[in-house]
Parts: sequence; structure tokens; C-alpha cells
Amino acid sequence: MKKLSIVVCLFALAISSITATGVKEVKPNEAMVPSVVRTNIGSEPDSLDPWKSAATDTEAIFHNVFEGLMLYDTNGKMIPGLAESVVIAPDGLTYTFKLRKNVLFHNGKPFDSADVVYTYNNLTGMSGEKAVSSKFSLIKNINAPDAYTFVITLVEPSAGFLSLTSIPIVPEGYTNQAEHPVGTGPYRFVEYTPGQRIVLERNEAYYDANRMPKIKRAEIYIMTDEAAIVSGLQSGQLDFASITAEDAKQLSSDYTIYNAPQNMVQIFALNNEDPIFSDVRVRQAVNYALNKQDVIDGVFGGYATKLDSNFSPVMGMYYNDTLSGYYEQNLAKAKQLLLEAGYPNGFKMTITVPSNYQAHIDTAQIFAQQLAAIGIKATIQPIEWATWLDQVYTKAQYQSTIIGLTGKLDPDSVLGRYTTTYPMNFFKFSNARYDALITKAKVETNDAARISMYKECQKILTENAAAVYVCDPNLTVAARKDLKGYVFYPVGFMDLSTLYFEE
Amino acid sequence: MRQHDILVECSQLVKEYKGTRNKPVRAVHDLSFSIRQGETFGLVGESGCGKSTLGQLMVRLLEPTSGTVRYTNFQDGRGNRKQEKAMRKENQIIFQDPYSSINPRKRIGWLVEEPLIIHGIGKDAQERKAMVCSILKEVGLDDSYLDRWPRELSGGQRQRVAIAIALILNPSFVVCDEVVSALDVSVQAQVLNLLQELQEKFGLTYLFISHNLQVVSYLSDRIGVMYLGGLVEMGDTEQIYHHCLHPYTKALFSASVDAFDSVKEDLLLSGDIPSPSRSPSGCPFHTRCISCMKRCIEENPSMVEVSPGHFCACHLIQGMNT
Amino acid sequence: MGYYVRKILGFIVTLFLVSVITFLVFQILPGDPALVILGVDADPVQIEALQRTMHVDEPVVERYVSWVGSALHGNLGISFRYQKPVSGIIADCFSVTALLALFTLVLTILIGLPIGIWLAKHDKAKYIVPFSLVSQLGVSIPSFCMGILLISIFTVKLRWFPSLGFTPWSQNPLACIKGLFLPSFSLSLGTSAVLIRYLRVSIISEQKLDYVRTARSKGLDENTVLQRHVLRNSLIPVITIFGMLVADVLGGSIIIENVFSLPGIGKLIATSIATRDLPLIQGLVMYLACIVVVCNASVDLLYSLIDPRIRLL
Repeated sequence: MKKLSIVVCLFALAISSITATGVKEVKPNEAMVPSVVRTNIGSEPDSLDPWKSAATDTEAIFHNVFEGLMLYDTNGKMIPGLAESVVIAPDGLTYTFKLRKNVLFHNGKPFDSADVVYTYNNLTGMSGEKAVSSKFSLIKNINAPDAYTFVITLVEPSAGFLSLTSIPIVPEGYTNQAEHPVGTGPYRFVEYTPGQRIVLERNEAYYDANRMPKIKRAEIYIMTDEAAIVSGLQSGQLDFASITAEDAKQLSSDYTIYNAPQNMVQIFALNNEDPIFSDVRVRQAVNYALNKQDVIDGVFGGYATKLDSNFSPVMGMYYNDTLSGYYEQNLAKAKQLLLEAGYPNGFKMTITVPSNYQAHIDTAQIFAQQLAAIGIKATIQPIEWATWLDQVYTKAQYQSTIIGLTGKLDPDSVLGRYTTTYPMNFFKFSNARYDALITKAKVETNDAARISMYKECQKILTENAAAVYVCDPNLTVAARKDLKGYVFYPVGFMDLSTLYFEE
Repeated sequence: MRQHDILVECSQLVKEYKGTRNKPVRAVHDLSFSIRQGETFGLVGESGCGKSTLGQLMVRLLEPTSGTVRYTNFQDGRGNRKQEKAMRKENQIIFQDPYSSINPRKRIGWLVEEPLIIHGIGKDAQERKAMVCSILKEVGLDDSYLDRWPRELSGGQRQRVAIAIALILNPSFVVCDEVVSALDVSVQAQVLNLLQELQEKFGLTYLFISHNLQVVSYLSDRIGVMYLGGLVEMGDTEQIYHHCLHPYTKALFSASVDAFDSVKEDLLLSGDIPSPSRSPSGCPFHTRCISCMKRCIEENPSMVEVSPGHFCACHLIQGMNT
Repeated sequence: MGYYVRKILGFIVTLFLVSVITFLVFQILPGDPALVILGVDADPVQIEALQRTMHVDEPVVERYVSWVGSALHGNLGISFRYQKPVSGIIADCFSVTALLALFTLVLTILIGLPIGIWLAKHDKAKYIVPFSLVSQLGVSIPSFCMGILLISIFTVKLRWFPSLGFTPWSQNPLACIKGLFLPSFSLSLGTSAVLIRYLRVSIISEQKLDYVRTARSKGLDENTVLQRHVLRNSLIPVITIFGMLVADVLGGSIIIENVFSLPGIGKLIATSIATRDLPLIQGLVMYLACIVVVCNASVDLLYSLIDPRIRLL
């Protein structure tokens, strides 16, 4: 008994000493400006090797480590990156890049055209290996006349090609990217502990003084649990993090909330080959039956942009603003369309939703209620993400689903999903005029003509009610009050270099 | 001849247990008697009559609900740790089942030595070991038992160990609670003889509890017969054995002498012992008594000294006398 | 002899069956690991490249046989998700979960033992009833709820403990204990409640035995009787539930590791199933089977240590 009480006392002592030191350590030091910024990533990185990675979350982090010949600015415009300048020949086939001098890779190797050649050889498969990406198949030829000039010749003109040159340039012959990524970006990779965190540190040798990071070190914790993220912020263990609209309300008094459209389109997809939804009138009826504002208010706390097109307004000049308000809720019209299609009493349908996205499940519930008003009885079927990818995305074995597709700056990579020949066209949308327009737009070099083609494509999708375009939910970021400089990009990019702590 | 000084005396002893629905169970009910220095007092009764509770009350392993137990050979101090310890040293108890009464996970030597450590007897381990060996020898076990585990011992050997544990402190009063009933018949006599030898040698006073009247009368100087928490008859062994008066005592004798004797069959006990939580009105025995009268149902008879030293609580006897 | 042979044979058969079942289940489960890892933005060429490294296009039987072959050589293959050897990943995560489990068991003992003993000593309704209510709560509140509650009190309000991240013991023992305290505490509440109940009952029933009275009549005070004679004997039935508690802790760690963002086995299991990482799951299943067997064996062993009467043969 005595021994036991001694143990208990010792234990209590240990706890109190731990907590005592804990107070000292965790206490936010107002006096000193932190040299570390801590945030989270919502999923494990798919691969550290930029050639093997495709996940938006991973890209958002590693845009800080890797750079391409060209970079994006915050408006989605292409600006020079590792290339000082680019000259496109009048025929639209030859791109001549003048490369930056005095750039060092994180491993100390100087950057020159040999690295660019090495990178593009692998991307296109010209090195003899299998091509790393299918997007570069329109490159006919590459060469490097000197150490700081790089020339690409295309098979045919492509207006969207320049945006592809944002793909990371890697040092020649370096094959250990999956273990230890090496790029030229403002931050260099330090460590990745699976399930735990990614650590980046300022690249002290970075060439661009304007983009030189102010914060020395960044720790990105891999956290999937929303509650854990919020408590991480509240306990001062995270400096900023993207959160849900609902949590934003709770945190808004103590944190700076950043809010901006993220160029994601939430889609209520209707399988166009389904016996019921193959009738365009039924799809239109569904569009007329729904009130998207309810979703924006109920699911995203008002932080979302209502859509009637497959583009978010973030897409700028490509966005077809004439479509806005195309389908306003109109139950009479919806019923009329159903009647014409031969469903005077409605029908039964299933909405298959990936269970890991609470927002989509909530949206499905609102839609199911609204559909009931025109006699459609919708059942919600939540399925696991992996199953969704297999059954819905790959095999298109579904009736309807709700999903968010992240936007790309190249309009083709978004609208191309609806072409008849696209392997993952899970909408099963097929329209000959649409297909022709997409093919034509790709090679059109006149910007104005190209833009109008893409606007026309959006119109076709909306008029044919290929799907229900719901909204672009905002990216909501909560940051501690003294952390400034957070900027949004219309692509997945969490730019760490602009962040700084106010003194 | 034995001294007639009283060693332990209890008066109006009551022990109640909490029963179901807060109805107290009376294990011992208003019981008074005394044990003389150097004698063996036999306590007999059916199982459940409260004799084990009484045994434990006598060595203060249980606290009485009311009434007192008084020892004459030392200062009694309740709540005083030192005096309580002294009381423990003087009063010992040996239990019925040697299989459960010694800790199965300690060695014999340790078990026997423990009381010495508790009471700070013996200068060092060596001296204590010598004392352990000598007491083991007294109970008929040699040194080889020191390092044995209880599981390696037979019932008789275990009971010898239990006796050694009780006697190593050199007590004056020992309660033997059914010490032989769990043993084989052949071993029973050995243990009883051992107890008798030890009594002679160390001048012990025994309270010998058993359900077996034969065993009790073999060993005891005086006998008390217990029924439902109270004494119904008490006297010298001689008196009880040959001139027992109470119908219950008679029934006990007839049960143990020869149960197959058809002549005495009507004296055999029938029916179950009443539950101590609902003891009947009047004489507690009237539900099973073959000579039950109207008076027995209404009135509880009190103890009456029938002849010198012979007490009995029965209306039949009192009827004869008055 | 017979005991060990039986145990080992049973173990081998279990491992075999478990591995076959896992393999089969993953043939039926829909989902392409390459697609899950890369997501909907992946280039078909990338998916194809990843699929090649996974050998998912080979026939099932062939894959299973080659897996068994390399597993027998101690090579559990390469994880689809992490592109690293499975055994290394499991070893890393195991060190976290093992520490978590150890801390939880230590806390369970530190909480459960004194309270269990105290309640056995004070066997009165006025102590027992409030305890049963509290312990009912302890058992029925899921550990992750408790975890979230503890985070909001100790991390958010008081800032005593961190709520995320893990520091290895070798790096900084103090930070390691701090990081693991809240998760193991939230797990240990349920297990201590169970321990307390068993221990209390066990002590009370043990105290009714004659040898306890013998010990008292030797002149020992209650505390010493309890400590020297009763406790050890009443721990034997408690050991049985300890094996059960270990299983509880491992099960609970799956959720609690997600709540506290700890990179342990539990989190690994969740990720590996979600991403259809077959080699990793196979490895984990093998690992869990081993844990169960080792736990049972150690319970047997503990029995024989505490009670020399029990032989393993």
C-alpha cells in the first residue's frame, strides 16, 4: 500500500512537472516573431516525386519547392519562372525560352538548359523511357542551342501549351525525388515523416529577392480530422489552416479568416446514359427543381459562388457570364418538363455520394428534399472514396452523384472531360458539336476566337443540362491574427513565401 | 485439578449481519457464558447456528453488535493498536478448512514465521527460524517443510501448519473452529490427540467448536449446545453426555450415536433449521421439537440452573421443577 | 512440449487463413489503388505507371504465391501508398502505438489499482453507487469523444499538452510523454473502469477466504493483510482481463490516433484500407495476428509467474 501511494505521488509529480514545463513551452511568445509557420495538409502526399504526383493537395505544398519555366501569378496569368522570357514564333509552333542564370538547385547544382532538356525528355518520352505525362505528346522536338536557351517545337499550334510549362524542372540525372525532392523553389525540402509532417526550410540561395520567404521554416502537418485541425489552431499549434465554413464562424473572432473562390466546381452529375437521365428534358427539370442558394447557405455558410456553368468566375476571360441565372428554381417549369418527358408523377433515383466529403452528403440531402417537390424520390447512397473512384468515376456505374472537381487554368483540361472520347467522361455526355469545338479550340491561336469557342462549349453544357453546376465553394483559411500575407491562387497553390508575422 | 479462574467471559453478546431488505440476520443472540483458565470448552450445534461467528467474536476477529467479550489475563484496550496487538498475541484461532485457511501462494516457513515478524519476536532471522523449526517439530513436521508450498501438503499436514501458526506466539486462548471436520477420519484422531498434547504442554485454554457431539465430548471439560444463535444447554461433559435435558441436545445425541436405531428414530431431527433472519416467536426450537407445547410457541424459555453447573433453557424442565 | 507445438501450429494456420482472406477480400472490394492515390486529376499515363509498379494486372493466385514466397523470406513487399518497404513502415508506426498502449496500460494500473483497492476496502453503497455511475460513463463514452473533450480542456483552454504530432522517445522523452498523455489518458478511462470493477470484486471475494482471517488473527492490520496476502491472489483473475484490455487499447488506438494525429498503427490501418494498399494491409494483418498471439501467450506466462500452481505444459 505504501509503495503504491509512493508510485502515485511520483506520477502526480511527473505530471505536474510536465504540465509546468508545458506552459512555458507552448505559451505563445508575443514578444518574439516566430521563425516557423505551421499549417496542415488534408491528406498524405501521393508522391514527393513531381512526375508521379497528381493530387492537388500535394501540388499545393510542392509548388513552394519546385518551379517550372513559367509560373502562375495570383490571377492565373503565366509569368516567367526559371525562364526569364519566352518568345513564341508567329506560326505558334516554336517556343524559345531564355533561361535564368545564377539559379542553384537545392542540392547546390547550378541550373542550366541541360536540366530542362533532361526534364522534357522524360516528360515526352524522348529519352527512350516511357513518357511521364500524356499532356506533352504534342511536342515534336526540343533542343538547347546554348546553356541558357531552350527551344520547344510543337506538332501543331496549341494555345494552352504555355500553361503546361509550369511543370517542375528537376536537376539532370537526379533520380531520388521520391525520397528527397530537389527543386529550385523558395523553400527546400527537409523531411517527410509519413502520417506526421512535411518540413520545408527557406532556400537561402533563392534567386528572386522579391519572392524570398520571410519565414525561415514551414511545418506542414498531415491531419485529416476536422476537429483536430480546429483544436490545433485553437491551441496555437497551427498558425493557419484551411477549415470548413462552419468552423470559420466559430473561429472568426480570434482569427483572421481568408475567404476566396478556389476554382472548384461542385457538380451534381447525372449519368447521361441512364435510361431516365438520357432525356434532356428530365435533366433540365432537375436543374429547374433545385435551389442552389440553399446549398450555399446551408452547407457552405454563404461562402460560395453560385454557378450555372462548368467554370468558376475565377477562370476570368474564359468564364461565360451570360449563363449566370440560366436555371433559376421554377417548379412549374420543372413539372411541365417532367410531364413532357413522360414522368408526370416523378420517379425514383439514387444519389451516390463519396462518404468522406461531408459537404457533398449535406448537399445531397438538400437536393433530395427539393426534388421531392416535383415528385422525384431521391435516395442517398454514401460510398467509400475508393469505391466511388472505381464505380462512378472509372466505370460510370451510377445514376447521379455529387462531386467537386478542381479547376485548372487551362480550359481544355476542364472542358475536355466532357468529350466523347475522354476515358474518364463519367458524365457520359456526348455531343458532336461540342467535341468538334474542343478539338478546334485546342489549335486555335487567335485568343479571341479561342475564348469564344470555350464560352460556346460552356453554353452547350448548360443548355443540354449535362449536369447541375452548383457552386464554387470558397477556400476558407483561418490564420492567427499576426500572420499576414496569405494570398489565393486560382490553382492549388499554398504560397508560403508571401507569409510573414507582424512584429 | 484445573483452576477455576475465568479466562474469557462474554455477556449478552449479539452479532447481527445485514440481511436482504435491511432485515438483520441474528447470528448470535444475547449469549452469555465464560471459559475457565486451562479448560476445553466444547461448543456444539448444527451448521448455521452461529457457532463460527461466536468463535470469531471470542478472538475479536468480529466486532459484536452489542455485548462484551472480556479477557481477564491482560488489560483490554479497544482502539489502542498496541493493546490490540497484545490481544492478538494471546488469542488465536484455527479454522475448519486447512485448504483455504493458509495462503496458497506463500511458503510454509514464511507463513509460520510471519506472526513473529508482526509482533517483533526474535532478535534476527536466525533466531526466528529456530523458533519456527521448534514449533513445527511440536506439531510433528520436520525442517524440510520450511520451503514447501501449501499445495504440496496433505490436509492433515496443512492443519498442523495452521496449528503451528496459531501456537508460535504462545497464546493462552485458542479457538478451534471445526478443526477436524474437513479431514479424513483416520487423520482426525491424530490431530485431536496433538491438540490435547499441546494443551497439556503449553497450558492452553480451548474453545472447541464442532457440529459433532462425539468429538466434542471426547475433548471437552464443559459443553455448550447452541441453537439459532443462543445457548440452549450448558454443563460439564459428564452432565451433558449422560443427563442431557434439552430435546435438541437429545436429538443431537441420537443423530450421532446410531442413526439407524429404530427405537430412537422419533428423536431424530426433522425439518430445516429456521432462517436466522426470521427466528420464530417463543422457544426458537419449537418448530422442530417433538415435545412442543402451547407455551413453547408463545414464550421463550430462559436459562435455568438445573443442577450445579448444568444450565438448560426449556419449558419442559422448568415445568418439572415448578 | 505439447503446449508449444499446439500453439505454434495454431498460429501458423491462423496466419495462413488470415492472409488468404485478406487477399480475397481485396479482390472483391472495388477500387483501384493507383487511382485512389493519384485522385481525379491524374494523368492516365501516371496512373498506368503507378499500376505497373503495383503488379495489380497479374493473376490473383500468382500474386498471392509470390507474396507468400517473399513473406517467408521476411520481405512483406513495397507499400503502394508510400512506395517504401512495408516492414519499415509498420516498424515506425508500431513504435508509436506500442508506446501509446504501454502508457495506456500504465495509466490504467495507476488509476485502476488504487481506486479498485480503495473501493474494495470501503465496500459501502455510498461509495459504490457513485462509482458505478462514473464507471458506466467511463465505459460508455467513446474514447474519441473523451479525446476531443480533453483536447478542448487541456490543449485549447489550458495549453498544457499538445494535440498533434509525435516526438520519439529517443529524441525527447519529456515531449514524448506530453504528446502521448492525453490520448493514452482518454483510452485509459474506459479500461480503468473495467479494471476497477474486476479488481474490486476479486479482492472482495478473496477477502472472504479463511486465510485472510488467519492473517488477521496473526495480528496484521487491514492494510498489511491486503498488501501482503490478498492483493497478489486477487490479481490472478484480473490478469485474464488484461489480455482483453490490450485488445481494447489496440482497437481504440485506431480512432484516437486520428483524433490526436498520431502516426501509429491505427492511423496506418485506416489509410491503408482507404487507399487499397494491399501489401501494407497484408503486413498489418500479419502484424495484428502476431500481436494477438503474443498477448495471449504473455497472459498465460503471467499466470504461471503469479501463480506457480499453473503450469504451461
